[in-house]
Amino acid sequence: MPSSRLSVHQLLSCLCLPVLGAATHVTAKEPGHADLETVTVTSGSAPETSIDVADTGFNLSAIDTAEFFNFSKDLQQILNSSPGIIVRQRGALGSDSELSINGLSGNQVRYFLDGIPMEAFGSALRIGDLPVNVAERLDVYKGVVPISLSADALGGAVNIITPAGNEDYFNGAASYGSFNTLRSSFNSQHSHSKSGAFARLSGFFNHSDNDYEIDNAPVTDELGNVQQSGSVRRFHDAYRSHMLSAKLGLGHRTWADELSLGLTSAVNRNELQHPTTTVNQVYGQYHSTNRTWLSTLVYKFSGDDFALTSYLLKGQVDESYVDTASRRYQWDGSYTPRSEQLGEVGNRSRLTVSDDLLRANFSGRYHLTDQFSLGSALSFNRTDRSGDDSLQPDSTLLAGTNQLTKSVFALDSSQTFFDERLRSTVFWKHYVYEGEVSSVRTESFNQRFVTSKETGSANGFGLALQYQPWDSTTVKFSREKAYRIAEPNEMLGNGQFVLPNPELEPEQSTNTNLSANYGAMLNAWYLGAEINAFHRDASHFIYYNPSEVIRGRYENLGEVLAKGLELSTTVDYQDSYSAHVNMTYQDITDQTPQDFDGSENLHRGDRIPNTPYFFANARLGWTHHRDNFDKISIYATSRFVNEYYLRWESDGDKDQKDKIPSQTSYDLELEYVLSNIDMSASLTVSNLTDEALYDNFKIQKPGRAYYVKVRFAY
Amino acid sequence: MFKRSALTLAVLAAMTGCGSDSSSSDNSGDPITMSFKVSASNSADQIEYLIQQEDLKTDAISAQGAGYEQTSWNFYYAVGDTLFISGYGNKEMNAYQANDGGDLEKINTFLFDETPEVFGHIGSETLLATDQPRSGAHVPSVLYTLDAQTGQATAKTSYTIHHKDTGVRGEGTVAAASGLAVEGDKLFVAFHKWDDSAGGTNYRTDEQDTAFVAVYDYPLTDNAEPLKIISDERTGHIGVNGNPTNMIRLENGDIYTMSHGGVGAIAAGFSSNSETPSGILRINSGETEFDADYFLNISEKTDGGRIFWFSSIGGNKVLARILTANEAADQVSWSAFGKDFHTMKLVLIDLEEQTVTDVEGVPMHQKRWTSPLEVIDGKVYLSIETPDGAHVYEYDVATNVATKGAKIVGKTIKGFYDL
Repeated sequence: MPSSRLSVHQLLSCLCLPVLGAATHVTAKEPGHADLETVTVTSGSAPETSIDVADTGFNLSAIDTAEFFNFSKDLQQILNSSPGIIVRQRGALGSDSELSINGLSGNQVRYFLDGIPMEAFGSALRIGDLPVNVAERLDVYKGVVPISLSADALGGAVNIITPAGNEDYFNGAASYGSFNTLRSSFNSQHSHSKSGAFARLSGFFNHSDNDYEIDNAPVTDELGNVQQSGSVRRFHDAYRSHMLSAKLGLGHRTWADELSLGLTSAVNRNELQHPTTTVNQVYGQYHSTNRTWLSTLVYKFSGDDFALTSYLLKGQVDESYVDTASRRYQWDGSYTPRSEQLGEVGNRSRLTVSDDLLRANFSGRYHLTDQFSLGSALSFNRTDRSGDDSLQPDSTLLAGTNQLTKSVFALDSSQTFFDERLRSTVFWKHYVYEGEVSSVRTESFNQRFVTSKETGSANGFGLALQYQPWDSTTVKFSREKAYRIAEPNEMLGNGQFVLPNPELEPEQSTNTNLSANYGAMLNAWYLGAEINAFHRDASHFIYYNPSEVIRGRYENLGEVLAKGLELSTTVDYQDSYSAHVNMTYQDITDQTPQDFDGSENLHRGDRIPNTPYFFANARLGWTHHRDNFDKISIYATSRFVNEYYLRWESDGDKDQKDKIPSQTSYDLELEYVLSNIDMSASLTVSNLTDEALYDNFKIQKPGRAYYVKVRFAY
Repeated sequence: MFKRSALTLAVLAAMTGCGSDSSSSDNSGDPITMSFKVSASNSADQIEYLIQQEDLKTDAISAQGAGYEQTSWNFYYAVGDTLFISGYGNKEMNAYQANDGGDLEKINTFLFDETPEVFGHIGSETLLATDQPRSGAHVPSVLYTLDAQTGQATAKTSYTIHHKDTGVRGEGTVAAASGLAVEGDKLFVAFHKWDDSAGGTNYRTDEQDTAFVAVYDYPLTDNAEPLKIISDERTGHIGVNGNPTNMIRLENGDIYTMSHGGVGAIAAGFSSNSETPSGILRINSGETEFDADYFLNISEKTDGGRIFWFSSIGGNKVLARILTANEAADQVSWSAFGKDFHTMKLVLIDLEEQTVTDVEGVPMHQKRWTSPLEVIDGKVYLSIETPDGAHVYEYDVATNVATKGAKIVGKTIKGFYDL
């Protein structure tokens, strides 16, 4: 595609422009496919530093968010329409969700915000909370991750790039629609060109009542006998989150490209309507709240042949679970009282889990020649967890202090050959971790306080190759032995349902990608196509073992093999018509030789249950440019997910098995962009045909919904 | 029996009929329904299926391509021709019956708040079930009554068993029911004493060297309290965790309870070991006290063994699993429920004669959970798990001999039902 011919410099300057500048720049530069969902940055570079030529050959999908700025989608929904990626939600705004890249999912995928790991940032800063307008670009690394994002990313990484640049800007967006859903955001920067000083302020506010109807709730008599399934309206599912982020800094000094200090505050309140896997039980007051404080110090410097990036982050994240109502609710909102020691879930409880975060990273790159550079990265990530339940002073859960420290030291060597037609990067990552758990353990039924400390290390290697035989065509190969060190809640427990297991080892996977990309302008047509084959050979999978059914611990239990193919094509005609289609097939199978108590695993070779394996997305666009240069666009989006079984496919009578049905959903988006002032308005109809949509068994997502959005900029 | 009038006997026989755990029936040609558990690397994926098969002697039994899928871990308890499947994590109880064509049909789904974990029955008409205080909270228990004909819940009754509240959570105790039986107009609830720790009981068993049964008027009235609590120090807490037949009522109306005792008790899910013998107590029909003259000392009769499970096979006879002493296994908490040690032997006990006889043909094995046994055409089917895998054994009631049958291609079969 054309962008493959941009020089690194052009590309950087393009990406470093403020949001709106970037959008118009892309439109002007690449007429005919401004609506591309995926811009593959083959010349390889990360955003705000100039040291990341090491990205060469990595399987990177850089999703330009500009084309979604006018629409009512969040980052999660945008990712969900990319090949190889699936996001499964348990409801609407604020609900639990899980993102999978090429078959690896959940915490096997790491999120970064401008290169800083977002792990344990709290539930107000999940990717579903972030409106599209807070990001400028999404970089999705599938399976193989460059050393600049130093973390234990087993299955890949998503780096959210926020707007930054030299010029002043202020832009804002607000959408309102069904279920009393309001989503708003703003970004602004004021800078002093002479001194290089700048101040940035950004934020978002989300609210939704989420009071949509679901079809399959059980209707019972007063004793609990199910009479029928019926439609009910969710009545305790409201979600609210907001974030404010300020950054003060200096740029373009001889001694620094950037030195900045940032402060971010985020808050949410999340009502929980029912347990995560069933609608048989109903909660009417149970909810969680989150408060997050993050402060960051960033320093960047680049010389003629040397560049350095570093950050320091300190954070405090408090997550509270409030179960104080001694009531048992029904779907009609009525309730019966329970004993006063009980809440809706268990014992009455007001548990707060507090995480103290400390993160630091130093990355450097030295260019020995134009063709050869060496990079290094050192990162440090410590989480201290403590807990307190004000209604259960005798509770021993999380009564001790727990901490997890993860460090990664990484080196790479990047080189180009044959006029940069061949680029290669080899890298090494060394992981060191230390977990410390102070917890109450039961030994022969006697409780005692035990402090145990676990340390470990691992070495990962990787390679990324890119060959560009013709300007239109790029072939990439990448491979990495990747690790994921257990999350704090896996090793240390969450104080609620998850018990500690300090003996947990890292998950590991050998990830391989082979892809070919074609893009060319043919007169007024742009044609693009990409094929990506992936292979993930993973072991030491950490599974939650609910040994006490409602409580349990995480253990190294599984081996999984994932093989798959992604196809995507883009056809654009002039600046008026566009079509983008992608599809993914993935064969993800259980390879574990033994079951969890040592017998032969009879499902070895079976497809992993409750996991989508075939899905496709299509997006058709039509744009009309009016004589006054205003623009009207219509987009129709469709998504298909093939049915999959909830449980092992080979077991049971096929007609009796629980499954997540095949689903096709349609969204319609209408956009009007004014030319004389920088403003746009849009209307989105999501789930146009009012399908009953499920990402999880019997946990229904919203039906048809309407959203209006206005965006403006100065 | 001599202790009771002929009139009472006749009335009781009419009232209670014969229990599912000792029902004899003619099953010629019909498939036997089984609750089958598959193997999986992740315990959460160990799914249970209801499968049907006629030949349990030679054909391997598997859930491949066949069976009615169930959710998570379940209790299976048949009353008459109805099989109740009650979720442990999944808060619903489904009732199945076989239709005229022999296929299974779900006849009702009952949603509950407090998970039933202890079961009993009255004749072939009524299922009784009650919950356990896993929250450690001092809250009333719930007795669920279900009609076997319709599979529907007909009553939900709140009642209390025992609790000791010191004001400090963890120092008091709450009652964990371990058995339910109705005889005449009395309800008997066997129970353990668990700690009342905040955030959930730690399953510490207080006063475990005493057997406890609470006695109520039946039918139970809402907010009922025990008429009395009877106790016996000849053996320990009645029952082991999860077993649906810790307390059984024979056809003659006598109620028998089994106690693991204190030797090696931590292996069976108790919080400490002691010297208390393992044994069986009796409450004679029409009485509300333990029979002071009856104690079947299992420790003595089995050379230091402890009873882990028993289930009625008609008359005065029960089949039982005896945990044999094992130095390594007896040092590991809950080891009897795991797969590391195969220390159980199968025996036939005549409760009246107080004889314990090894069952010929069954190897040492391990078994965590078993539905009440059913006698089908003079045979009883058992799933026996050894290090070589799981197999069906067919036990001949007449000869006290078991023969090895079909291989189980999976973890276990929790029960065999003639529906």
